Amino acid sequence: MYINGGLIKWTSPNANTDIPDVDNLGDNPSDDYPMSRCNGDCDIDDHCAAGLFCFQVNKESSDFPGCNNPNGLGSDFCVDPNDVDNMLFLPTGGSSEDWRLTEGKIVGLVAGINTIKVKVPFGNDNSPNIDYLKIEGVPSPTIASKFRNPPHFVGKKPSMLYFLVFVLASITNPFNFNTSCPRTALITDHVSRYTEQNTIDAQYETDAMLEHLVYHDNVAPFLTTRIMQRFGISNPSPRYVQTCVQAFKTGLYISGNESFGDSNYGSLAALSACVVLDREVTDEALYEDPAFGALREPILMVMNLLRSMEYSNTLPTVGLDGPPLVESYNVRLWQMDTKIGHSPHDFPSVFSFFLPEYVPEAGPALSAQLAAPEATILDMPKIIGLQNGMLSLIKYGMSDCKNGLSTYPGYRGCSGKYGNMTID
Amino acid sequence: MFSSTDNGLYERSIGHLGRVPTGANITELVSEVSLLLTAGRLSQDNRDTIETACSSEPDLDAQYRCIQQLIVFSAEFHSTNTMQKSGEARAVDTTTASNSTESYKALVHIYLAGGLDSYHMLAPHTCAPINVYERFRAIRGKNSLSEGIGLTLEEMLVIDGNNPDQPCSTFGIHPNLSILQTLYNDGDAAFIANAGLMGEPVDVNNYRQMTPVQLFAHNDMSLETKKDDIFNEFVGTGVHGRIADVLKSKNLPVNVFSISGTQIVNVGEPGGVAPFILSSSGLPDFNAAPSISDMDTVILELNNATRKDSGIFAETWSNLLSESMASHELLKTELDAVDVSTAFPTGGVGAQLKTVAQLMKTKESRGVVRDIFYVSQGGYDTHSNMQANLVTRFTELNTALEAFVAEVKVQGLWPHVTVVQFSEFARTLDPNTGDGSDHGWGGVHFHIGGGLVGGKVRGLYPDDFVQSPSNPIALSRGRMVPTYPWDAMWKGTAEWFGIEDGSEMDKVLPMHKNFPGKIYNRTDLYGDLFV
Repeated sequence: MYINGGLIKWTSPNANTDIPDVDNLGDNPSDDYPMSRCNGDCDIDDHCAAGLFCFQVNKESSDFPGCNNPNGLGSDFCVDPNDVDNMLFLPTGGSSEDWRLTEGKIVGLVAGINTIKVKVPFGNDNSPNIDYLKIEGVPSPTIASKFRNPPHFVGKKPSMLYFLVFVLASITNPFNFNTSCPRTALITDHVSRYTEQNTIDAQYETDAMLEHLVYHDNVAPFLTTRIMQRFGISNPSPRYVQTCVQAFKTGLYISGNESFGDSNYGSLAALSACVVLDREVTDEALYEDPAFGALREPILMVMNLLRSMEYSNTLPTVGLDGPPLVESYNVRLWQMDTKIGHSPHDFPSVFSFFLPEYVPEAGPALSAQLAAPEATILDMPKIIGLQNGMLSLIKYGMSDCKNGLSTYPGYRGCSGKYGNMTID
Repeated sequence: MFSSTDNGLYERSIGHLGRVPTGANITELVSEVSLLLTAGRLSQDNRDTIETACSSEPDLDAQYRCIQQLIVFSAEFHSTNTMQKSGEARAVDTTTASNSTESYKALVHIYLAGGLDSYHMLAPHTCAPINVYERFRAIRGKNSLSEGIGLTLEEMLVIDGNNPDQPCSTFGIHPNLSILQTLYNDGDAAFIANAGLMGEPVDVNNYRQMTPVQLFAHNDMSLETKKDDIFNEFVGTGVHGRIADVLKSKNLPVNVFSISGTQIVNVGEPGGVAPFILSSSGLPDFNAAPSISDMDTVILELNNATRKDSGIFAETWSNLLSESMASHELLKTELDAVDVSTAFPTGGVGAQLKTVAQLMKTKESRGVVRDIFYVSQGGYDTHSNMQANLVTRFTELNTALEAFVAEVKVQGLWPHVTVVQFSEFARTLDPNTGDGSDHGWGGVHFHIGGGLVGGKVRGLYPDDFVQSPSNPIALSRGRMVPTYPWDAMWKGTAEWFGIEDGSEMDKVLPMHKNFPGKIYNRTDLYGDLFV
């Protein structure tokens, strides 16, 4: 491999010290399968002992480090991939388990366009495919964000391949070349090559796309602001947002003697800690600020009521009609989306329940242009539904009584509609 | 005889709030509940109000429930703010008088749930040169052994198609839908033939790829029909909701009602027009059984006007609650007070339409110039005994429509009202072994209204129902690929209702431009002279 003209070699520390001559045992020496290192002729990897691969040579003077081929003849032979030198060993197999990860090489890249060439052994005129080039070891997202288009390589027909890497800054870093190319593909098997190429392509492209999104500049402030809004601050200050964006990006938030996060980009632990521990949410003086805080989410208020007032599923001792009921009910809140416009997993669209930038249509929030996302669903039918439901819960328990939040467990409805019962 | 009373026994529940208070007197109880539900934010002002109000309750348990009920109305519970009252009463603006000079219009959507066998609602009668009637009877199962399930010439209420494009000069309406024949002959009803949910024009060769919905499935076709936006340009919204959003943006006061549960068709974009959900018995009560006298007054007092430096979110809640209580009471009072002069059938779609007629009478007090109503009738999934089932359903629908049309005419609103009918799909023309019909696609639907240029069968009635290489619209068993989209009727209707071509229409009907020549404009459906 050549980076900007400079030769890059790999030599395995596990390489064999002896270099035997190639020993051709015959055209199809099936009695000798699996064959030892530097024995031939092989056609597939299974003809070689465990850990060895069949090195396909179909032209004169093809060579493989670790085997001496003085006759220079074109029979294929078994090789140890650890003997790789001056080239990457590209195994067969056609599935991701056979990917080879070379040791990292430190290379210098220049600002602008860098050229990477891969030289293919003579005679292997079917192109290898190098699907992925990754620069590792530099704290993210610096690197990933510099790869405007994550590099993606597909081999072409010529035996000398040219790849272009677009790098916007000069950097020196460990360079891991995680490459995959089925050796069978190097020879003849176009079908398996394209099959594998497509699968790997899809995997890498998905990965690259996700990475691009995760490291996008908007992600940290977007997530931070939205999480702050869900944690009770509808209009977080720029300083508060910036502090927690840093926590998310650096993966570290320190509060007193405690630190949170794993020091990696995208730490939700650090972000969450920042969101709930920052001075903007912990200083009591802020309660005096009229713009502080938020409206509460309807379902959370119902939960507050249920938890704080110690709801339990306790069937009444008198009055329940119908057959005996098991007491192991789940808490049965029924059709909450209809009643209060808010229910777990029942969001009306991908935009969820609240518009994050919703400004109420009246009052001081309108004049001050303050967002009150939860007010998005505070319309008359839902306010009436929510308040009726809580009134009923307090007075009649978990039931359908007087527009309650649940369903009636017995045969006849609370209201007596289905029987001749009376109310009150 | 047990009943639901505030006696602490929770006789109609599966569980209840079980916390035992620790406070020994009402002041301590208020403080305790305030800590639990408002993190102690509850203002002294509100504590005093609640204590005074609940002290009339006979015992500590009842006082404890009363305190909880009142605290859940407080702004401190609904926001994370503290708040300070100004000491003045809150001014709630309940004036709803519209200053719009637009005349009133109402759109009533009757949804026939289950998949109406609409080729049994409107059948071919006199057709030349192709005898479509004979083909129709044949695909509906007529042979030497059986008459099949098709309408016969003798049964049909004959109408003139008034459309040279159709394969038939006359059609027949089902005998139990005489209201449609009457209105049709008055020019107040029309049909669109072989219409259905489509995103683009399709035929038997490409319909699967180009109609990315679960064709022939009730749930999805019902949902998608109500959304009428199969490429999800306006995610999570329905036609009515989008119409209302556009009207609202043009300052045309509009209300949207469902008399049949929550309906996606009524949902607009977030923050848009809030749809009302009513039952046939009207608007649900608010605080139907108050624990203390003048409870609503106490609730409003808790949410009285605040000082300028009081919490803004608390104020937002108090304002919205006070307005909601006022508008709810106004609408409830109005609705309970109005009655209609026509006798409606009880129950079912008739009762729903009665509620619609009552609501129309409250339009002035609601201050609207546009109303959108959704009602539905079920039971159309006629997998067996289709003919007998439809006699029952159509009879009920006919009675309901007769009463509704009569009432709307009495109210003088007939030219201002359009009723559109939809169903998720039509059914196989080919009967199954139980004399039923199974899930299909394209079919016939109708609309009625005093402003319509009716008396016409629009769309294109199929002249060949049998699957063959030369038939672009017939799938197996007489499942018809629609020739006209739902937007054919919606476009002109929406235009009549105040939606203008261009960006407004693109939002209301995001797919309508895919069907050049297959869309009816306002001038087609309502003519040049309309209200």
